[in-house]
Amino acid sequence: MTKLILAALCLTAIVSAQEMDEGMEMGQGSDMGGGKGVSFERDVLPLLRESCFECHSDAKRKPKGALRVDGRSWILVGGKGGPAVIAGKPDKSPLYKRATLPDDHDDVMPPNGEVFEKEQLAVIRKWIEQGADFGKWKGKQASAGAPVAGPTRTTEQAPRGADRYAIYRTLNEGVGAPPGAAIKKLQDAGARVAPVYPGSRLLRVEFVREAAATDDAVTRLLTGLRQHIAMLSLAHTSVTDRAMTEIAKMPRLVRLDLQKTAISDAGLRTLAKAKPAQLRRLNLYGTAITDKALANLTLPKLERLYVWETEVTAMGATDFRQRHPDCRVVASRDLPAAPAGNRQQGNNRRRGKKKK
Amino acid sequence: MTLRKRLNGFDDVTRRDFVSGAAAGMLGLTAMPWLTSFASAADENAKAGNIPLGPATARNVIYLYMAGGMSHLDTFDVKPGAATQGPTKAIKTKADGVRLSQHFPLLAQQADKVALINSMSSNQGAHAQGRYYMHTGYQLRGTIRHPSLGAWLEKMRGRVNTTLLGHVVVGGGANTASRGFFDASLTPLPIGDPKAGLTNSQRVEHVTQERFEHRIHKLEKMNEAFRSKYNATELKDYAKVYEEAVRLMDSKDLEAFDISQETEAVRASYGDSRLGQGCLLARRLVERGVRFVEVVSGGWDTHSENFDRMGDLCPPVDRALAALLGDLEARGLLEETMVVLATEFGRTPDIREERNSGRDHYPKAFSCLMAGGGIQGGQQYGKTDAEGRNVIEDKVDVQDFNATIAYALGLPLEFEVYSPSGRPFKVGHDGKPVKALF
Repeated sequence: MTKLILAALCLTAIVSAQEMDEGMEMGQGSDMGGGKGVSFERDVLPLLRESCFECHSDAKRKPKGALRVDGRSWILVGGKGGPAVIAGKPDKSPLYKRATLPDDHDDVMPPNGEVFEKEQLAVIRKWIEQGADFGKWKGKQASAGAPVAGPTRTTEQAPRGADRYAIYRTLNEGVGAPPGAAIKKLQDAGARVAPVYPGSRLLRVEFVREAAATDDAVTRLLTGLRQHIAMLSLAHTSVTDRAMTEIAKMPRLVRLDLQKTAISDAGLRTLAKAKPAQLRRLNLYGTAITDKALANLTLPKLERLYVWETEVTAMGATDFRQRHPDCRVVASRDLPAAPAGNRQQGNNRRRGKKKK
Repeated sequence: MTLRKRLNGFDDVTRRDFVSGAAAGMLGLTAMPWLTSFASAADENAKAGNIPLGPATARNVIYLYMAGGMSHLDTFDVKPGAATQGPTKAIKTKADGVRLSQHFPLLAQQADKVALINSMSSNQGAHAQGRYYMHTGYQLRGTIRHPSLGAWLEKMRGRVNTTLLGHVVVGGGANTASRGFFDASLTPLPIGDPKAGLTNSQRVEHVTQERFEHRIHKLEKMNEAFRSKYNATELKDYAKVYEEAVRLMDSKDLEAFDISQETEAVRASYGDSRLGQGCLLARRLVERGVRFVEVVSGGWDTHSENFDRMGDLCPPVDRALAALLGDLEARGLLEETMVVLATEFGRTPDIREERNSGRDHYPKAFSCLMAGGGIQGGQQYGKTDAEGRNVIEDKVDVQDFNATIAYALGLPLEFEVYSPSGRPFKVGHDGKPVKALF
């Protein structure tokens, strides 16, 4: 049990340090702009590629020690010894620890006398000390469709998208307990308010029950929980662009669902201006937004955008895709064509036909 | 048409389980009281800290159940060229390396969303037992009823929409979804015909609203004395069921049950089958905050004329499933909604010529499917041998299968819940979630 908690803590630590740099603390740039810090892609990755990839990547059908270091999530998940890197703690990170063992030690990495130089070790150490920030690097992710070889096959392995929800754990660090009175008020107004995951201080707020009865008035109630709302759904409610002023002020908003509302380009403009740094999912299906709104929208972390049944054209969607290569834009619905004319469906009818 | 064939044609759910189903319904509220040891919706805050993992990958489940035992060789585990394959052909899909049988051309277009599990294995070879095991992860016993996944979910995580019911079964019967030994308020809502929606949910015309309220009030009065004298949990549950029914009657969310509000084109795209319309209803319900919807499709018990009947049985499933996946994706619902297709067992690789090419029950190896809710699409997980007889790679037993769904829903697999008789039970029993699917 202790082990489990430790592992969980480590994982939290590593991602928190990393995500913090990326967006939470404003302007305190990560490796991208600076010259003084260690950059993962520039300084560390070449070392890993040179000395580790041969045995710890998809080059091997079964990577040694079930560890892969050719992708961010693989490093985070780690191998048999747990996560390969623990942010801020080089001496507890197997990746560094194994590399600093005496040259003749059985477990030293890389094996066969090809050990790292002192300077190289110093770079890795510094990188971990600084919070093990991967910057924008994601590396290899498990590819869809390909038969999965090696360690992912066993039921013991962590899920491939292990860092998929790491963001919530990170954001959770920056916030205190949500005020109970504000939650109560929101619930009284018909909202469902729940922690994003059990134990989290981040909130998921949605208006599911008789959604249409919810209107802009409700945004007043969101103010007190501004810091805590990570997932917000106003889908199918009667809110308008005016609600966006409040929504734009939520610093930890990761998921926003506005499908089938009266939100229009004006509302999206408000959102675009606020540049929500954490927004990863935006659902605008069934709204009246147009290409113009998308053209003005830049959301660096966005991973999914839903714009089916809007005024957005194929061209508008393509333009957005080009500016957001990591974002999947869902702009159409893939439904099977209705069955042709008199072809009958269902076994009972077919059977009836046969009887004739 | 022979009588045998005619019988086989009916939903086996109806045929086999009608009587026991009815009995269970009538006895539904007489279960023993049970102290709630796990938090539901309102207590989520309080229980915080017990499960420190992260948000679940899935929040809702649409569970399509092929009652009768779906032939794996003729659907998701094709073996072209094998003697056991019979006349069924394989087709390529949108996902590299993933093949389906010829009966699933529409699903093939959506294969990038789907994970086929070809290494299912059960130890229950009879319908009632197999179905029960599949739904609960526990074997059917005389002494206890185990809850199915929808009841576990509602018990542990509560409802999203507090007016609508927590979980719904369309076209089901006994040994499908059940509250098991949980309290009566966790009983799934049964819908017979998806087109009819929720029947008897409107106030009858000749009773005015006032009169209705008056009656409810009277009822309360009458019950009050009795309740204060016998303060038992099941009585409270019973009152709660009443209260909820009345609330639902007045709710605008009732329209969730009315699939006639969908356009003709959408309804047609799902197919005019019971399963198709059931899937459409399931989507409407999930959209409005119902977390677990099971849709049951019967007739898969193809002891005789397997190949003829697969040609009839599969196309409605193909169409319904393809439409459902496309529709969920476009609305942004697929990310958090896991679509599952399950059955109690597969069918014998050996073809029974004496019954016009039938196939018998075969629990040792069969196939199921998952999509959405965090599942990595475009993969085939597990393997059977060249003739589809034995699992040779990555066996997934029924408990693992249940545990995988529970894992996606973020339910604590190790959490023990005690039955009225004081015995511990876990969601997914002792199964290990197949994390490679995510």
